[in-house]
Amino acid sequence: MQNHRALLKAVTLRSLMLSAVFAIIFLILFRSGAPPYLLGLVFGSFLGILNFRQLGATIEKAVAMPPAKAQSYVTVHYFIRFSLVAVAILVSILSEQIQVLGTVAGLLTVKLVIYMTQLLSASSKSMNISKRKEE
Amino acid sequence: MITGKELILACSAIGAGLAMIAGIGPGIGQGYAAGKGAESVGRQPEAQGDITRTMLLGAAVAETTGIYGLIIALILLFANPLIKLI
Repeated sequence: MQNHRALLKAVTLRSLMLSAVFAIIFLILFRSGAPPYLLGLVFGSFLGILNFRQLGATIEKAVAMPPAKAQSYVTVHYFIRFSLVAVAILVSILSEQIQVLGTVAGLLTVKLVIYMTQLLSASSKSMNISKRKEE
Repeated sequence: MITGKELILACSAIGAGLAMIAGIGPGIGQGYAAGKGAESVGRQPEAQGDITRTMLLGAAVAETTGIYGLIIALILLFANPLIKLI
């Protein structure tokens, strides 16, 4: 369980760092027009992290349930999270102060962090294997 | 007589509906994975941490396609870029 909590913490921290990188990119790209993108990024990354933490809580609870109950529990919670994301994207599309591109970038930071972490660990593993073969 | 704008709006609504189908798959998949995860925890309780961790990463990545579909659908419905072309 400690393992899982540490993962949640690490992904949250890295997502915040990646959001800061995105913020710098938006500032460079859009200069004076950046604030709506930054607001969207803050909104999206906050929601993305919240979504991931909620997913963590759902799965932690689901693995202790009987399989049939876990299946329906996780599916129902997925649709609740999905509708929250839908509301967030809708708000950012309809609002003048928020740019939807920023919100989407913020929402996907968690996913990008997971992809990057897994790819890096996979490549370091394959490098270690090739080193051992050379030796 | 159907104008070009009306045709685009109608096709966009159909497209948005089709894009939303992408949101159903991850839900079913996550539920199935959770059921199997619960089964494996029952079989091997000492591996609960590893199972939860793997499931969490898998579920978070699986959700991405649903979010892509949702974004496409909402943009087609509320911020359709094709209407400006007419």
